[in-house]
Amino acid sequence: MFNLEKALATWRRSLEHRRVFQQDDLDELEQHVRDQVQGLMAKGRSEAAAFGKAMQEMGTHGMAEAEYQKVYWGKVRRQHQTRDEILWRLSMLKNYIKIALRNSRRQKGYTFINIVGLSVGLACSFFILLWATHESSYDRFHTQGDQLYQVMRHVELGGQTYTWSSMPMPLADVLEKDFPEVADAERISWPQQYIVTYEGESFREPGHYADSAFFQLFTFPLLQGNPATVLADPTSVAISAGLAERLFGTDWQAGSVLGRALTINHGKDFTIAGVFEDVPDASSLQFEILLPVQEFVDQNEWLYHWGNSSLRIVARLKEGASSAALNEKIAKMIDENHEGANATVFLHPYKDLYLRSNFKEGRLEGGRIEYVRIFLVVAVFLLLIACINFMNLATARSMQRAREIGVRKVVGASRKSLVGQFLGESMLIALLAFGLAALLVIALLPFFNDLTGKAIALGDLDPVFLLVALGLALLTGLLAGSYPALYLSSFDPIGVLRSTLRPRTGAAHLRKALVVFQFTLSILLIVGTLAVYEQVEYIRTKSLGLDRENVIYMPREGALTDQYDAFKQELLARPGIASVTASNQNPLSVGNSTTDPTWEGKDPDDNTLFYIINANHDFVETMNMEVVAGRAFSPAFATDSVGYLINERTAEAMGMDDPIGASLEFWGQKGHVVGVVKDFHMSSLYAAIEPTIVRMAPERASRVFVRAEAGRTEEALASLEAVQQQFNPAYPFRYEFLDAEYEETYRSEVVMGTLANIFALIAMLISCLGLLGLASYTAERRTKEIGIRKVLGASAPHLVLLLSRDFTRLVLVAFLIAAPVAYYLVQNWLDQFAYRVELGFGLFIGAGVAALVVAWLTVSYQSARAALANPVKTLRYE
Amino acid sequence: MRGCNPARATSYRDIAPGIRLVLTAPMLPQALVAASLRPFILSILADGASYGYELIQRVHALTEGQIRYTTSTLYPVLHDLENRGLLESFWQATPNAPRRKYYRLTPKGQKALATAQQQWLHVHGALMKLWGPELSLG
Repeated sequence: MFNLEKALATWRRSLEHRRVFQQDDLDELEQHVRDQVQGLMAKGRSEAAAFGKAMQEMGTHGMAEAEYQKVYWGKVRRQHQTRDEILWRLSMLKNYIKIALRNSRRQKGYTFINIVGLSVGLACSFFILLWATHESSYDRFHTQGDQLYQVMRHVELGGQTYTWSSMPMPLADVLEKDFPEVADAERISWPQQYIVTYEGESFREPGHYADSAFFQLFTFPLLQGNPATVLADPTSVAISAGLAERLFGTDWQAGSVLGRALTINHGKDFTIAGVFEDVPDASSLQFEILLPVQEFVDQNEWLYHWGNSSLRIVARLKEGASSAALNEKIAKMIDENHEGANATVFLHPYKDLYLRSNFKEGRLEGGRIEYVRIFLVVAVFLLLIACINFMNLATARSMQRAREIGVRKVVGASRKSLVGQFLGESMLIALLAFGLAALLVIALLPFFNDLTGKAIALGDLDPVFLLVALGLALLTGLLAGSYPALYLSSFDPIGVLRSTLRPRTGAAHLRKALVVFQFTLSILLIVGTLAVYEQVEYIRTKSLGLDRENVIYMPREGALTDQYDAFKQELLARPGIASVTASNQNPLSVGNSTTDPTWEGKDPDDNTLFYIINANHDFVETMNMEVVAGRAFSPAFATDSVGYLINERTAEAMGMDDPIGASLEFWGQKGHVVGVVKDFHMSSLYAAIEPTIVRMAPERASRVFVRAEAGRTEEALASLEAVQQQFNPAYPFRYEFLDAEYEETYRSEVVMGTLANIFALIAMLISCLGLLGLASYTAERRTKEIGIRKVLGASAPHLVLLLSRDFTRLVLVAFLIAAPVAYYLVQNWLDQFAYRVELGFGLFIGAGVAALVVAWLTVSYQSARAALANPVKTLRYE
Repeated sequence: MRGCNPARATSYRDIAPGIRLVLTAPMLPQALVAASLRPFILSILADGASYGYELIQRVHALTEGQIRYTTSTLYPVLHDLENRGLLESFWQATPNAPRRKYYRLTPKGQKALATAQQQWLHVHGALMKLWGPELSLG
């Protein structure tokens, strides 16, 4: 029998817990229904039908709730209950936080995995962001940076295109005089070391010669002196604050140091006309001292020739001038003045010099920007991997919270508020992780600086960076929490509370896909790391055609210019010294080149570029080069003073099978080939070996090279220092090791290799943390199944295998996806090198096996624990 | 309509001369129903206090069954008008009627009603200029 009072009570209860319906509203609605039922009954309907009709007109609860919600806050305000309402909301928030904390305390393992994974991922991305920010800040501090261009040229020689930034000096004048778009064309010499002497004390300082407009083009603020005139006087000099301190003591700023005289290279005196702030790290130009370029020009008459080049030119265009338009006009400027130069002059934005200046065959091919990009991608990968852990664990553990969700829903939580609650929870974890990550960054920054050779200080950080970092953390929380929030809040409360709800297979599939994704990224990183490692090892161990170990070199200066032979004899008499020679070039990085050489039968159109080393006796012996034909220079042959040693590439370029004795002429000197040495790497492994000529030119051999006896380097160094001080007491002792210098060339590769190593390890670690969580969840869920299997006679190893099988399959799928992608990316990177390792299958298999083994180790602990458990206990579980 | 021939068509009569238009009051569009709710509430309450169910019935009768507001439309609007101070509410029971929540106009509500009347008459008047006196509800 229909009972109106009962029906009304039931209906009312269903609305009562919804906060937007106040008691007063419900009273009003109830009376409305009563009125309507009466009205309908008066028209002859039964009570039950009338009630049904009234309910129908009432519409769904959701619709009514939405309408009431719109006026809810107005009502609260009218009734002066705003404070209570806010307090209520805060108490809900308190409840959310309490539940979140309770849950995380109850599930310490999972919370640990989430927070550690997220904070390590975040810390890594912060480091990468710091590094990338620093890298892209290079040369950006010049206020006129947008108007500054490095003048460069592509040169076609011997069928190859080279890109150089060394320019003929007269080009600067032409640019300034003939092109109104150019405001200044600043000449800057290549960096060198100067010996700076003040009151008997000498220092070696890096610097270069520069035009007087230097401080007007570039933003290097002057602490003393006038930027417009500082280098105008040919006897003036500008020094850094740091050098001023070394020269005059810490209180040098107490008075003006302008006008004090410094002796440069134990020769001329120069007057200090300016002191500039120390050059920032993020500057391509690094110098402690600047000298007027006129001094350099006066010493080197040959600079006036269009065919020579030994200066850099930086042009400042007038505001609004187009570099593209100017490029068209200046392209052939060198050829117009020097036939056969085959040069295309162009302007390269100065602010791109550091990150984007790798030219290959005349085209811009990136540069360090590639590393920046690679590492930014790595940062995203790491965060994604950490997010996936969070998602997987949250959905996998969702059954644990199903009841909470059911209860919340029954007592009136809307889906929206549940989504809010779970997102809030993940944000809370993200914030915690952010705090931990910040601590990690602060603690590890010194190591990071050490590793990357940077000097990043947290104090200099842009506040924007902090905001970006915090934003990144919150975004990570949002991303990690989004799927779990939507998934959890969609539970049907009735199913949950009756315990009939089963985990959805969709979620399990997604979980698997995400694990595959995680491992794909990890394997990619592992393969990348291994490839970089192999290439770096290849570089380290490659036979270069000469023995770079145990070779020390130092400038030939002061007394050594005239007394080289006596110096050499004295050295050879000392312990530890095997042999001594002199040369103007580091044979592993030859910078001197010319198209000048001619020989009998040379094709007049042949403009092959030859690299030239000016050397003295014992060069081949000291470098341990292999002579493949003829002989090395020898004092026994007086004709060797016009003799040449060539490498195999030169013989090839000259088209001679037996070049010994062939005449060769360049730079106005006619001579003959006395020997052929095996090809050696006269420049980096990025480039192919070029034709190289070693020329007997003792007067130009500006550096002394000393080979120490193997294992006696210390002694040799001591001998070298003693003899150097004996000959040159006024010159501070300075030396380099050939092998150290060589490795310095590949510093960025080594750094990148180390970083990639660390990040790959971390990616693997975070992935495995997630796997550990999933594995323990699976083991827990299958406790009963395992118990039954055991009772029925399954062995422990069999069970471990059973539990590990699923994960094995996932890792294998990840490997199949990662391998081709990794192959493509790694080949791409290696293609930059002219000399590189060939990747074998072994590398990929190795990475796959490594991932698999680590995954097994992770999973097997949990599996073994489950498999070894006493079935009596597990079957009693629950 | 003016789109057809802006030069001549200035009223219905120009388009269909000699035909007496009869409006048979078809289904009212949602927007018009919604827009008329507030004027209805204010106008009915101008005659004296009333309650939700009665308001719905009155409008239903006045529009000859064309408009029937649902509870989830009416009550939130009543509460909103009360939030804005146009209405005030009170509970009242009489010997022959149960306890009900009544609404009545406040002075502010009176003013709002006057404004609404002006607005509706203005629109109505403008339309009538186009339609002319022959037009009536059939």
